[in-house]
Amino acid sequence: MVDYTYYIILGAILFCLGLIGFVSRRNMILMFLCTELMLQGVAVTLVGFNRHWIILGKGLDGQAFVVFLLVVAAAEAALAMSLVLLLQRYKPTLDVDQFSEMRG
Amino acid sequence: MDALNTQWIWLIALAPLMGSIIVALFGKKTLKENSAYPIILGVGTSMVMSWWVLKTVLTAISHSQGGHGLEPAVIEGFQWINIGGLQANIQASIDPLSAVMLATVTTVSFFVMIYSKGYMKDDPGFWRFFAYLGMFVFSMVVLILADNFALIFFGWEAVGVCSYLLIGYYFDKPSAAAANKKAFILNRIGDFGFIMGILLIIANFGTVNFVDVFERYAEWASLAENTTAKHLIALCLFTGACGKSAQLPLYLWLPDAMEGPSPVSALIHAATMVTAGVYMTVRCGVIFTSSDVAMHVVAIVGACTALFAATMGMAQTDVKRIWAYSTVSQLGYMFMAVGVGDAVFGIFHLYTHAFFKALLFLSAGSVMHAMHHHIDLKEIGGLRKDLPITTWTCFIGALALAGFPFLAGYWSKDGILASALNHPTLQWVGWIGVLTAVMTAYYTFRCFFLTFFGPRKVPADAHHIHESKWMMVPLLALSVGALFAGWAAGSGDGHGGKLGHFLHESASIQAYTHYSDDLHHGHEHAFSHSAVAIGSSILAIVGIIVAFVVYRNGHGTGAKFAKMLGPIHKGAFNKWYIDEFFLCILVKPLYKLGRICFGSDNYVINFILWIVCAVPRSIGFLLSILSQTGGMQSYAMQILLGITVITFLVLTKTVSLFVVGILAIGIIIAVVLDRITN
Repeated sequence: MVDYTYYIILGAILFCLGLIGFVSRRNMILMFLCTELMLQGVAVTLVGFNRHWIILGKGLDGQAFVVFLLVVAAAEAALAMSLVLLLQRYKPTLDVDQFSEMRG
Repeated sequence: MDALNTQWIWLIALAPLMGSIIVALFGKKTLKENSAYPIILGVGTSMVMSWWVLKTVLTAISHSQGGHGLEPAVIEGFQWINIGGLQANIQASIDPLSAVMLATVTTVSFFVMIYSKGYMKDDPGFWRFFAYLGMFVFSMVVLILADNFALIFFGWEAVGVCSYLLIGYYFDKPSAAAANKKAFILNRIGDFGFIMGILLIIANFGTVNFVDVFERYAEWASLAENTTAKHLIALCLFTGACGKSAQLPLYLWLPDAMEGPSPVSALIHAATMVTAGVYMTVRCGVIFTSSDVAMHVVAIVGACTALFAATMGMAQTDVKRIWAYSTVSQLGYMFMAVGVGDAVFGIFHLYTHAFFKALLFLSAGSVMHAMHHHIDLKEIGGLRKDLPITTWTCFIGALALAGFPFLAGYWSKDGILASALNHPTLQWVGWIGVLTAVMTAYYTFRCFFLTFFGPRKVPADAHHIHESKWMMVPLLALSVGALFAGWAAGSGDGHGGKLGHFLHESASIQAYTHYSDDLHHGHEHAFSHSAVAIGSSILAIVGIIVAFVVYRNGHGTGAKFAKMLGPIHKGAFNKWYIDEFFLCILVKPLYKLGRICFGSDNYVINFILWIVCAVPRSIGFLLSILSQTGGMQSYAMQILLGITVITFLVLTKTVSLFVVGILAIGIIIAVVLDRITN
């Protein structure tokens, strides 16, 4: 049995990759993909923690949680992509720096 | 009295309240011009119950031995206040004094309600008016029934609120808005005294129940160390009475209260609410009679008010204001009676005054209704042909007020004058009363002749001069009261006749009787009661004749007379400049103080605060320039850094300034770099 620490390290790596991508990339679709990556990192962490949870004799809450998370992520992905498309129609670019109208 | 130990007694208070609630809830949309009926029904119920109470008390007295006072009937309610050792219940007690008050108040209220139905016709706030009136009767009945200081204070304040609301009934009129504020503020001064008195009683006796306090009071007051306290308690309570009953120097609100509708002036500011002070003074008989200082103050303030108000009443031209000053003056008489130890005649005068003064105000209201809200004697006159019934009712009221023989005011006023003139030390108070009696007769008939006699004067906008049916019935009923209310005294035996014997059964009144007996011990009566009666009748008739001679033909002779008096007339006409005096010594300095406070708040404190605020505001401004770029990724960076800091702090659990500083500098550098690269 794989120790749950490895799951958490994997989750952290996924999350950090997503984070770095989100901050450094300028293309909105890529940025969006990076947020998905971060989300999946969290999902992996949850699964990992659940393994520990099972050892303690508790239920499968974490895994069930991840199933919900995936469903919600799918819905959210559909929404986000449509938003990106709308922005692309508004300005013929996907460069995120072009969209800074809402500065304070 | 056992028949009175029933919860049905509460109906006297609750019936008008129920009517008031119904009208308040459904008056505007559903009942509309029918709003008067629930109130008339409710007050009618109160009136019938009150007369039943009076009859029961009378029967109880005729069955008892008499002389030792009647045990008051206590109607248990429920616990209201329970703080520390202090307990106050919603509890009523009925003795002859409260029975008389109840009957007077509810009867006059009932007739005023019927009158209002006619007077307030077509007024847009019809339902509101009746809801207030119902609430007023409820509060007044609670005040009378209360058997402890807490409940009487509740009733006291509640009638004050109703009075405030009704004076400002025409709230779109600036003068009415000013008048109700004035009434409220002057009453606060009085109420401050009242509540101080109550607190002193609580401090010394630990209870607010009348029975408990009064039983122990005489013994407590006879101890030497309580001398100051007993004077202070009585004077504090009297301050409250001064405010509510419009005595010097707090009388100023009552003439202005005439801004309210005429039925309100009749009911609240003449017949009932303003007499609450007299009632309270009589109710606290033991407290007042224990302090000779307070008794002298009551008598002197009463007499001075009576005279002072009468001088002002002689020169006014607004009919309602004349009756208002007359009310102040008559209330002065009542206090004079209480102060010389003859509370029976104080209450007797309260009872007769309620009828004839309500009658006079309602007659004035009838004139006002016909004259399209003009009531100034310069604009109206000679109306006896136009308003025949009102002329007669006003005539009867005026005769009763002037103390014409065998009418209501005659019996009670004679009693007061006789008691005051026979007082061993305060005889001069009695002579002031005699002087005031002549003046009363004079100004009453001056007003009467100017309104109904002389050349006919009608304001241009009064088209439809008529007397309303709904208004005539109460006028006639109250005329009967003004004619015959005095007969309740039976004979002028100097003790208030039947009513006197009846009231003597009340413990509160007996305190005054004992005081009076002690006072007159070893003193011969200087004036017999019949001599005073004959003398004051002659003076009343003299006053009436003078008024007739001067004002029979309108203002002509009167104006000459006024010119002859010069500054005296001018002073009386301008109310002796008391309002202006208070304006100068109190209102204007307070206003200036207010300006200074406002200035210091606006310029000094706000400036300091502005400087204090400037520091975080400028930091925020700098940060907003640096960080709020609108770029999504810079926000992500900031969130990330924030999370890092929090995580760090949580993990190390120590807030090291060094670490935080480095992190903050890191954030700023990161943000700035982010900004530059963008």
